[in-house]
Amino acid sequence: MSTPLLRIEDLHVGFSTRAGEVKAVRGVSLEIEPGATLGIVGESGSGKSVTAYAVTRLLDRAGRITGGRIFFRGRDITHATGGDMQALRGGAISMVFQNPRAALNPIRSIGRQVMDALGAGSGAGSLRDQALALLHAVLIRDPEQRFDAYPHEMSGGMCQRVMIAMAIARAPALLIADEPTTGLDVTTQKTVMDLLARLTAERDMALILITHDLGLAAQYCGQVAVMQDGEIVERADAVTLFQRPIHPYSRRLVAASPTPRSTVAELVGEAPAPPLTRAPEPAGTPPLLEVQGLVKRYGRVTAVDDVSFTLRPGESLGLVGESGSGKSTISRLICRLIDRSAGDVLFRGEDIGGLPARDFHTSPFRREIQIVFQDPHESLNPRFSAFDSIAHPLRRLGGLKEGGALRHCVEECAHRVGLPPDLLSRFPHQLSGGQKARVGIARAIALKPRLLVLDEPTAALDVSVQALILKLLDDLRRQEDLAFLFVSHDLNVVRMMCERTIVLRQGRIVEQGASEALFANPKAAYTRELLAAIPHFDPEAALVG
Amino acid sequence: MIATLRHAGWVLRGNPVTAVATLGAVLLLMLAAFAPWLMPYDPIESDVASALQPPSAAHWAGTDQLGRDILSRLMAATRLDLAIAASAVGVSFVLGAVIGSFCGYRGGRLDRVVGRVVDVLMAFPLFVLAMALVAALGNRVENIIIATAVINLPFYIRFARAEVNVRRDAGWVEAARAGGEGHLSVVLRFLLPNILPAMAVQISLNLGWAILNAAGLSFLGLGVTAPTPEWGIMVAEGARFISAGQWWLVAFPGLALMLAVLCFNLLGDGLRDILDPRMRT
Repeated sequence: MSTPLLRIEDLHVGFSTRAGEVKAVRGVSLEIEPGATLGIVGESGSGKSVTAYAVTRLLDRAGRITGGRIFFRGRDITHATGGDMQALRGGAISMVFQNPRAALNPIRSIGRQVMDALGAGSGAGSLRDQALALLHAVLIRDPEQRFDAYPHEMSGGMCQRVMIAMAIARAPALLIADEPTTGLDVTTQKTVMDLLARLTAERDMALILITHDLGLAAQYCGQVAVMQDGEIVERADAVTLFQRPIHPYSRRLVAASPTPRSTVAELVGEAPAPPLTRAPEPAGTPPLLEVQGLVKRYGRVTAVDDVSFTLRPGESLGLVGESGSGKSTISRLICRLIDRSAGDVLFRGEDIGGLPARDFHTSPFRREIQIVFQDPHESLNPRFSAFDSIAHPLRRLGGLKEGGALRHCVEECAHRVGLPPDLLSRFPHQLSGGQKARVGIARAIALKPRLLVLDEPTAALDVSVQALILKLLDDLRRQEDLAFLFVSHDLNVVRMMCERTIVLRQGRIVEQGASEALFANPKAAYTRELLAAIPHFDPEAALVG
Repeated sequence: MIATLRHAGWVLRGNPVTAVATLGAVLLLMLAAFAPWLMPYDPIESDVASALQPPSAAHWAGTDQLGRDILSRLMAATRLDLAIAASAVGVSFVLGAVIGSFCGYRGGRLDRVVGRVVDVLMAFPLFVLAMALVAALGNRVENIIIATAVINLPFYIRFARAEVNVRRDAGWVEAARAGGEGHLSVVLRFLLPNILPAMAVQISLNLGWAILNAAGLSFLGLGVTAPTPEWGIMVAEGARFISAGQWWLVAFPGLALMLAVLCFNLLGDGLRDILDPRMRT
């Protein structure tokens, strides 16, 4: 029997904090053979990254290995000295980090950084030639020209390729990729992951992929380990995990991961809701929102270019696009937080685009159009308790003064979004991501608006929390006849949540239509490309393949 | 309120230096507040018969060349010096925070113009600028306050501008606007309270500096004039006697000055930990 490349036995990692020691990893055991691929999937706080950092001993100062052993090529490296670890890192074990732009040195050219990673000359050819070969291998076009470029001159995807080039520079036996594509666009994610998979296979490297995305792990890894609260709850090959997850947590995780066919109800394991039926509107009713030829320029850059669409009362419309597509700008233009450069925004037939954004808070339409922001943490005032955050629009726009009526209203809002009333006195940093998302939604629906703009409301949430929040939003829309403008980069989510979808690219509409039809039969090449790039795992297809 | 105090207690327990500094600052403030009742002698009335006596049971810190009790004069000076420093810092904090916040929030031309004015102000040797201001405006306590406030103002403007600048695009600022706030109230009611913890550190460090500045001006004969008890004047007047071995005339006011400045400087970091709600669990 061969020795596994890496074997972790009953690893415990603790962090000392103000509240005493927190056990981040509690008895993880796993092994990986040379050349194999292992996905470690878990939500934030599950200890997946800490496990990897413990292996490479890059834990921050408060963290330490409190138990267990780590073997690399049969050698115990649990208590190896700093010098030994330094030799292992980069040489035999290397890492690709989450935020490539932050991980690269901003004041050194990328070619130089790859040369640095190669270290003192090894193998044939000059260091520069080797670095060029590596840049070529990670599919950087014109590596000769790009050699002297600085990180800020390159896109996020390009930076991640440079990181990969540096990670494989000294032909490590094990590559640990920690959320390598988080923050990248879906098409970029696909090229980066394809590249990573191909390079590790070609060079016979073992790959540990740490991710929150079950679909991504299953698509690229032979084996998948699911972590929860510092423990591995299930480990299986990808097909088995998807078809017959055993542990209740992995079952929930598999169910909560959106697939091209899932519905919102299925994500949380409920029966699908009946399709929404609406009473026909009387003839001549203006649409709730009508956008005509909307343009927004920043200096010479056109962020939104001639966008037109309409939204009927109670309808949900999805805006899909990658970064730079102008989708967030459109959401802020419609919320009247910024001013348009040209075009019209009509709300119930009345022009609201002409009002300057700086005066819109005095408009009677302010309370009709509300917004839920992308990052639930960043969207809550750190000095406001949950109660104050939800009460703020009620005080300002609802005219409610302090006292019983206000408290009653806030508690009712909290109830509508499923937020326990005893959490209302907490501050944002004392709430979990899902709870903060609920506060943000409660604040937006407090005034019973008719149009809710949702700017990537679940992008910063774990997948199981995302499932609950999506279900909540879907229920709210059904119960309260809210119209949604749902902005997202996640096509699966938009398909589930929206009746109609608009695909945007560089500020222009590429394609629009009913969601089901658009996803089943995309017409524009760009839409097809987007759809193909969604990481998803099809167990049946994998078996046939 | 109780939660705030409990949290303050926690911060102080974990940080003995801050605890000592806090205690010192509180003692100084109490001394300043109750000086008229605590002083054993009149700080201004002279008693030539008992001039230049070394520290004794009757005069703990000795007497000066006019026979005035130095301890009483120190207490009265604490009141004056802290009042000057606090009002100067208060004025520059309020003006600086408001001007800086609006510049940081608005950006654009206003920000550039104010930024250059601040640059020009900071290019002057600050103490010389303060001296010039007092010389031009006249030797009065109000003018020391104005001069000290003017030379501190640029730091507050810059600080507030930078702190607001990093927060102005935060989701909660946009959320406040969606909740019906105009730009003015976003700055005053949302951004300003959020930059307070960071500014508190600046205020505390600045208080020490402002005390030193006021004493320095008086030491040079600009500002508070004799016979008003003030640390700077006391040092200046006592300096003549140090060669004759009458050290207590200079040592005690100097020590008082040093301890006051030290207390406020050490207080800074602890204050931020106490005021920032995110530091609580």
